[in-house]
This record gives sequence, structure tokens and C-alpha cells, in this order.
Amino acid sequence: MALRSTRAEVAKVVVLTVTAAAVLVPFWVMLSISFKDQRQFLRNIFYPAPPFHWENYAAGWEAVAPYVGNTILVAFLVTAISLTCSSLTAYVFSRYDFPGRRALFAALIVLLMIPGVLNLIPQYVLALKLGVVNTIWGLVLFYVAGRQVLEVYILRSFFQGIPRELFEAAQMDGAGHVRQYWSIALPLSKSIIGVLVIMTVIFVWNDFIWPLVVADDFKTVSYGLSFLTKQHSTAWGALMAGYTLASLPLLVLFAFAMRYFVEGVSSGAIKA
Amino acid sequence: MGSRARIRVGWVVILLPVLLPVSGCSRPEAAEETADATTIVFATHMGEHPGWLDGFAAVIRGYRTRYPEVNIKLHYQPLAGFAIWAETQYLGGRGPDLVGLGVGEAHRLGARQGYLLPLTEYLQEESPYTPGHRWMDSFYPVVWVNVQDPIYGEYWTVPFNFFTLRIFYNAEQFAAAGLTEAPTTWKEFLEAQEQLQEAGFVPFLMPNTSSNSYVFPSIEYLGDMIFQSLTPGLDLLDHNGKVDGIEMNAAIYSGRISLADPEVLAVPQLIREWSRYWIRGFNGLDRGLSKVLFANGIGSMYMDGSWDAEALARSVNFELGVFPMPTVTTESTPYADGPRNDNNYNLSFAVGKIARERGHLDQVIDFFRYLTSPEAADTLTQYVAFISALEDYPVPRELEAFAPATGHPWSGYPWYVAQQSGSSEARARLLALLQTYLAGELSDQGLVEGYQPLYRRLAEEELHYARRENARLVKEVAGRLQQVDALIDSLPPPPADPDGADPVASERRQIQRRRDFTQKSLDKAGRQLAFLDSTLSRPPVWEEITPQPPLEPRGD
Repeated sequence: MALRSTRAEVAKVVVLTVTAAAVLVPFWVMLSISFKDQRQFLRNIFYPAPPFHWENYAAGWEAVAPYVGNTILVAFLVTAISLTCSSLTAYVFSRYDFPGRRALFAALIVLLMIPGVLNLIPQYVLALKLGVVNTIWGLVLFYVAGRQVLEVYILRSFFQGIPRELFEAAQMDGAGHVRQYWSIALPLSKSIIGVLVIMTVIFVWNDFIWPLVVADDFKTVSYGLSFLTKQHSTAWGALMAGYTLASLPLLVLFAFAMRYFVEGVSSGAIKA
Repeated sequence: MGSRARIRVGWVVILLPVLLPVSGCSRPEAAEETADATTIVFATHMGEHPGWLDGFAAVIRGYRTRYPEVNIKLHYQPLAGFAIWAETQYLGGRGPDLVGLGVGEAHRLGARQGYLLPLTEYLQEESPYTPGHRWMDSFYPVVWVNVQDPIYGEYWTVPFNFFTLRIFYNAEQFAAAGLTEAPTTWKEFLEAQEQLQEAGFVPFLMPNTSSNSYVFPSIEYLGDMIFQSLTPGLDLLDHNGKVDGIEMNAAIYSGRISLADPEVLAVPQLIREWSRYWIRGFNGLDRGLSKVLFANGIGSMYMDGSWDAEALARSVNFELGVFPMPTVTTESTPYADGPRNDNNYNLSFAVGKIARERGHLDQVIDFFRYLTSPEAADTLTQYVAFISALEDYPVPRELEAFAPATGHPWSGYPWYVAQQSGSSEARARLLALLQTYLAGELSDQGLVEGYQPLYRRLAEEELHYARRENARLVKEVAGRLQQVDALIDSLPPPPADPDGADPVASERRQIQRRRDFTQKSLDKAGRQLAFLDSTLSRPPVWEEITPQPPLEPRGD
């Protein structure tokens, strides 16, 4: 019995090690290439070899540095505003009973099926009409709007999983809906909100097309990285160094929010 | 609020003022920020190639020695997302005056979206920087073949340079296999690959994935060397020695050409024969990976463009050779009938209509003419080696191997359904079939039968699309002609000496030139519409009822 248990343990460790290695390979390759010049890149990408080209990091930094501040600010505003709006909407959908609730929610969910790229030009026209092109709000407002459907869908599912008795008890103690939202729904949803924070920040961090077209003076990191991507002669070392530098803030975010992320994912809410 | 919550809010309060000053930074200035009547905005993606931005800046300095009052703002926008960036900028009324665009994008933004200025009329006029010549006459004639809009007949872009495709080879592997010279004919080419294979090398690294196939350029090369004799029978609209998209679609529709014709089938057959020497798994190989393999000595040859020659030479540690696509001769197929013709992959520029709205169109056109002048090319060559699209401009010594073969008749490609509507459906289907065909899993007949239904349907749809657009064009040009006529009528009576220096006479001559040009455009559009009407007045050849032989009387 003990032997079988040890074998199972060894098998588990082996499987997890192999899986972790497979997941980490792209990161390792990114780091490895970030120290190479073009000749070294064409020879071998899997391990770094001397001479190490640290100047790639200077080129990568030059590409992303002007945009890091913008991106952090936009990500912060979008995350805060978006989650505030979507959690309130989700609370209403999960706790209020009003005529047409299901139909309205279904209409909202249908929007998930429209590929974002199809909306690019109409969105741009809307941004022009709103007068927000070339301002930070051209990014923030549209990102917030764009995130709503998914966030409302996920949060509503999560809120519905919170035992109804908790809300009823609060009601009996005289708590109104605002109080129930603030003191019950939100604190019990920390894990899923953590997941959504990470998803929103990654979304803002990685988006390229919208900042490209709408924000001349307020572009984000992915736009900076596009200066390193070339049609025929990409300097892969500098590009990977840029990717490495651009991913550092996300790594910091993950370090802080990992616990919530794991809890949120394991709670099954985002599979709802 | 609890103490932890207060701490978090505190962090936000501290961080925001820190972030606000560092935000708002942006490297390139917005294209339109400084756009006014004295500032020309010139947007390009060529900054990704070393030397080009400095070269363009030097050209601008050269222009400003003539016109110091004119400001020109060079705006570098990376290629990724360039076209969508340009489109949205124009949509917002903020685009660049002069913009680097591919031909397909220019047709879309020019003809369909109306953001670009047709340059056709300007190209007919003399350029002050090439005295005695119309602007367009300074260029290789072949560059205009790709550039002309097949429906509207307009030129939306002016080509600037030539990029050409070549076959790069590992000279050390060639020597090891006993090859002393690069092949010049298709037969020698296949023999060389046989020799390389026998010597244990992978002869050719051919990428053929969905977005990265060099099989299509190969089809174009081979097509030009095989379809020349078909041209007179297909060039029925304007008899200009080339088969344009409408002529090819009409030929498919009317049955003047068919995929099952032996000349047409000869092209994929030659490529299938060649594919015996390609690396295994070529259907999963993309261009980037083929370069990596070549640089590592895995593969003796691979195809790439002059754009990558310099970087490649720096990246390999063996002797590198270059040769053009070998010529197909009758030793390889009885249908070989023409010389090699280099397709042109150009950097080209277009003018936004916004230049007119900003009130400096004439200045923009003048700068554009300067940009494409020999003088500007002299300046630019101090910064970059490039093959100019100007016919008389010398090819730099380091790029001699890439000098384009031009001036031969353009044959047209029966394997492509010319896509005026911008559909890429035919290409995607053809690639999928070719992948199977070249892997040996599809016969000639299977290739034809697999492609033919879509090919026919698209040819028909494209003709109807072209007819609709052409009818619209005829109305539009007729309206323009009326306007010009009204303008001529409104001018004061002609002076005694119509060729004199009187400003009214000069204006009258200029408007008369415009009238002549508009009349020519109308005539051309009218001819095209009549051709389309005539073609579409009959059903497609595949729907024509073939007379059936009379039934034999039954013996019972």
C-alpha cells in the first residue's frame, strides 16, 4: 500500500514537473533569445550562449519605456471603473427581480458573440463623435464598456452562488441592497474579483489595435513593442528583451493576486 | 473604513500623482497634430529598415532648400496595423498627406473608401524634376501593371522602388555536391537539386503554410514563362499586351481559358515535379523557419526577397549565393514560351484627399514628384541601397543580383481569380488544394475538380461586381465632364493668342487638359462597361446547354 502510494506520488511529481516545464519553455526561450544577436538567434534559440547581448535590453527598454506609465494608469482606471460598474450590474441581475430580467440578460450575453474587431470602425466613429479620440478617455471608456459583458456574466454567476440565506439574514437586520452589495456580495467575491482584475489588466496590457487607432498621444506598451516587430528583419533579441521588460509589471501583479486568482479559478465561477 | 482599506486608498492616492506625470508620453507625434497649409505630413512604415528614415529626412532637407517655407513632418508608424491606422486617421479627417501603402490597400482606401486622391491625371503631366517627361514616364513601365486599379483604371499609388524575389543558396553545399555554377534553366535547376540530394543535402526549403507560401510567387514566375502565347486571345478589352483582372475573369466566364487546358495545368505540374526536392513537411514550414533552417545549413536553397538580403548575409557563416528563378525552356515543357519576368513588390506612396482640404495639394504633389525624382534617389542612396523604380536610375552594385527583369509582356495568371472585390476565398482554397496536390495526395484532375466550382463562381461574381462598379464610374465621370464643360463655358472668351502667357489662356489650357483627360477616362470606362455587358449578356460557358446526341431507338 505504501509502495503504491509512493509510486503515485512520484508519478504526480513527474507529471507536474513535465507540465510545469512545458508551460515555462516559452518564457525560457523568450529569456534565452533576449540575450542573442541575429546570428545567434538563427543558430539556436533554446539556451543563451556568450557573448550575451545586453544591449538588447537597452533597445527593448527604449521601445516600451515611454508607454509603461500610460499603460499602468489606463489599466488602473479601467479595472476600477469597469469592476465597479459590472459588479453593480451583476448584483442587480442576481438579486433584483424585475420584469424582463432574463431577456435583458440574454440580450447582454449575445454581445459576447460579436468579435471585437468587427466593431473597430463603428467604435472609432463613436469615439470621434464623443470627442474622446486622442485622450485617455478614448481608451478608458471603451475598454470599460468592452469589459462589461464578460464581467457581468461572470460576477452574476458568482453572486448567484452565494447562499441566499446570507442576504436574507442581512435584510432582517435592516440592511438595504447597497449594504448587502458592499458587505456581503463584494467581500465574498474577492477571489473572482481578483481573477477579473488580472484578466482586465492583461487585456489592457496586450491590446494593440485600439490604442493604435484612438490614442495618438496615449499609446500603451504593446504599441511600443510594435516598433521592434518588423516585417522581414525583426531583431528578435531586442523584441524578446522588450517582451521581458513589458511582462515584469504583470509578474508583479500576479505575485500579489495569485492567491485570489487560484481561488477564483478553482471555485469554478469562471466556468459558469 | 478599516485601517487596511485606508492603506490601500493611500497607495492609490500616492501612486496616481506619480503615474500621471509619466503617462501621456508617446514617442511619435500624432500625424495630424501639426498639419496645416504649410506642413506636409508624410507617413511611412519604412523606419523598420535601417537608413530609410534618415534617408527620407535628407530628401526632405533637399526639398526644403528649394521651398524653405514648407514644413514636412516625417511620421514613422510601424508596419503592424499601419493600414488600419491610416484608415481610421482618414476617417477622422486627420490622416497624412502622403502615405506609404500597398497597392491592394490603396485600391481599397482610394476607390472604395474615397480617402485617397487618384493620381492618374497628375501622372500624365510633366514633372518639374524630370523635364521633358510625363511624371509616369520616368518609371519602368512594368511597375504600372500592378498599380492600376482594374475597375476604375486609376492609379492610386506611385511605386518608389523594386523588391525582387531570388533564390539564395549555400555555395559551400553546392561545391560539395559538385555544382560550380548556379542553374539558369529549369532543367538545370532540377538537375542541381538531384545532385544535391544525392550528396545528402536537403535541396530546397520551400515554405507553404497558409499565410507564408512561396508557392504562389513561384506560380507567377512560371506562369509568365508559359502563358505568353495565351495573352493575345485574352487581352480583348484594351489590347495593351497584358491580361488584367477583368479580362481574365471574362476569359474564365466565356471559356476562353480553362483550368484543364494543358498550358494551364503545366504550371502546377512543374511545381509538383520540383516539390520532390523540397524539405519534408514543407506544408508546415513558414518563411521565418525556412530562413532559420537555411542559416543553420539545413537546406541548400531557399527563396527570399531583396529586402532581407543584407540581414541574411550578416546572419550566416557560409558563402552565400543568389540567383533568379531559372527560365523554363522547352526542355522541360512544350508550353514554355516566354522569358522570366520579375513581379514587382514595391514600396509605393499615395496622396490623401485630406491634402486638398488642407489647401496644400499642389505642394504635396510637387513634393511627391521630388520624392520620386533622380535627385531624391541620389540623396537616398547615400543612406540605403535600393533599386529605384525609375527606369534610368542605376541599380547599386551590391543589389545587382536583384536587378529586376522587366519590360516583358505581362501574361496574367489563369490560376487566380482576379479579385476586384477584395475576396481572398479563391487563394485560400487554392492553397489548401495545392498543399494536398504537392503532397502527392491529389491528381491533376482532382486539383481541377476541387478548385473549379469556386473558381467559376468567383469569376462570375467578380464580373458582376466589376459591372456594377463600372456603371457607377461611368455616371460619376460623365458628371465630372459636365462640370468641367460648365467651367470652360464660364471662362472669359479666349484671347487673340491662345498660346500666349495670358493667365486666362493658361487657366483655359489647364482646364482643357483636364477635360481631355476626363473624356479619355469616360471613353475607357464606357468601353469597359460595354465589354462587361457583352460578356454578361450570355450565360457562363459552364451553364450553356450542350446539345445531346439523339437517343438511340430501343431495340425492344
